Amino acid sequence: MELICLTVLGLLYFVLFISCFWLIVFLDNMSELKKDPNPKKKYFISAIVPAYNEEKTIAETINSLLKQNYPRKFFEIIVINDGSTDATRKKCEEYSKKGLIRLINQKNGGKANAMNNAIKRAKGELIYVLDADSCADENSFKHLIGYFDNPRVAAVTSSMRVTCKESFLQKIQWVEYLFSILMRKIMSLFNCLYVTPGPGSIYRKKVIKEIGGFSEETLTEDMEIAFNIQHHNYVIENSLNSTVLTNTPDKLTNLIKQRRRWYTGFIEDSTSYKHFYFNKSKGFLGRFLLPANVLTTIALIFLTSYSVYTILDSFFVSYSNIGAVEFNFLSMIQPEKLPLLIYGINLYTIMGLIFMIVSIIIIYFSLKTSDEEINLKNNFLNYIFYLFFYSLLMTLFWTDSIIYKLMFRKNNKGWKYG
Amino acid sequence: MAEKKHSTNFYFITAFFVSSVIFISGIGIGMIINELKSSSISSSIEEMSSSLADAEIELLLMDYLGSNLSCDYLMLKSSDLSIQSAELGNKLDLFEESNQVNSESYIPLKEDYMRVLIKNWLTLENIKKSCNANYSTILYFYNNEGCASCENQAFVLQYYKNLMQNDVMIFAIDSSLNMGIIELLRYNYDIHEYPSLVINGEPYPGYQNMTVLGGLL
Repeated sequence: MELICLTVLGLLYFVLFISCFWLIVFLDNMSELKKDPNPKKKYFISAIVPAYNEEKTIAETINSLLKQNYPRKFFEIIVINDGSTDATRKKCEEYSKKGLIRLINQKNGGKANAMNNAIKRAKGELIYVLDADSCADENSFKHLIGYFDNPRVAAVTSSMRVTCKESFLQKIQWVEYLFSILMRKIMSLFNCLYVTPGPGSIYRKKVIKEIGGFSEETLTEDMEIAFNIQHHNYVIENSLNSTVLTNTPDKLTNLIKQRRRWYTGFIEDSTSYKHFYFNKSKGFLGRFLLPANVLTTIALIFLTSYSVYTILDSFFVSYSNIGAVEFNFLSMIQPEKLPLLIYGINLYTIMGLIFMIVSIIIIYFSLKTSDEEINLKNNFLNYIFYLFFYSLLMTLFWTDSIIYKLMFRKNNKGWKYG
Repeated sequence: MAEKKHSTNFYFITAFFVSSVIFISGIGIGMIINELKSSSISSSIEEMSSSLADAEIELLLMDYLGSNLSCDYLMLKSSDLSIQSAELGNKLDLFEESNQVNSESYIPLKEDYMRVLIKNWLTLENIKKSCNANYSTILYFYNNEGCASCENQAFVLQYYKNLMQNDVMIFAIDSSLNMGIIELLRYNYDIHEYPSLVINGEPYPGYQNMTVLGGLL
């Protein structure tokens, strides 16, 4: 057997093992996943909205916080206008004049800097962060706070859903985000969450202060802080019921930009916390999840690139062959070949089918977890795009991020916006 | 932290067991399909062998009886043999393309096919001679290793096969196989480069493009 076949089969087995692992954990714990603990006391929450040039969405974001089904006297809303050059400040002032929010205007210093600034002024025991392009569900606070009765809990993340699924890319992201909702919940069972996303994560202020706040030297402050929390052996939880609606990029250039930040951020943050890898004291995250994620990424890039290479190679051979007969398609007519296609089935075809079935099962449970209807009539294309193009896009984003990190990112400066 | 029902090791062991069962089943199904394909090709080769044996006996009978009346029947027979041979060749091509994991199982089948193919060529040449048939026979020598234009040549040949139907009979000889009969043919027609064609007994070394081949036929 050739080395390439062995490598492909080995990586396929690994990916299958990982998929089975998460599916089994999910099925075994399915009945418990949606239960959030009831809080023993009321916590005062400071909801922070860092905003930079968000004039189009900021009002909706603030309104979603104002509608929270939580006693108004137990939460405040702080909007940090981080040197916006559009009408963000004006829009926020309309709310602050009515006493509905506290508005802090600062020179543009980046998201992490804005949040650190807001945390210093926040009165709350808990800090709820909401990106200015996202909206919280009215029961978000209620679902999140019960976890903080456990003093080891430093943060709780929400379930992020996509608002718009119009474009091809947004359709894929809609399924991807539903899958992430499922994955984050299962990962929280092992306390191995290593990102507390900007939209809808809540933190214990005391812990944030203890660990030095949000890093201003990283591309992904929400990932760095999660690593930092794990480093200090605190717990990160997830609530399936607390949902946040967020916008996703509709154009490839914007999506590449977003993923470059995320994945380069992952490379840098996981390198900064490299002592986690294979470290028993870092629990499941260090012992298994981080090394497995690296290997899964390698498998994804290798298997997708190999498939693309095989398809392109056969395409070029066919093109050359048709060229040899001056693009006369008479040469392609081989009627007796169609019923013989069964002879073309091989181990890769079977493995491909197995992975297709596993992916469909995962999508089904992702939808079930998020209480979304399968609705094939409206969502059929979303599933098809996800099944056939997701790994291709991920390979593109990872390759882009690795090249960007190796060739272009000389100084590890923090991210601002955009 | 929310409590999971079982220990992490329990999940690892279960996942290992389940994924191994699925993976091994996948490999098993692949092997069964491979075996089915292989045995189907074997029986097709056997079928073709007996068709060829029939044709040979029919030729001998025609010779013995000194009659040309069987020629119409033999011409029909040669067309059937050509179709059978093309179908078998396609099965083998697909089997070869798909059989990336265990290419060793393919070689004995291909060798059997080559024997039948060359026998078919001989039979059709004999029918052609005995019945003064006017179809062209082409021996197409190719090599799977280091022959960039072999696929192009196959495509050009397929074009003329589709165009001329039973007026041309093509026999693709895989020169990468280590077989005495192929060596003998190569030696006889002085074949040193790939692709090479032998059209009606006349060797044409190198790639023959669409225009040149059209002229030769």
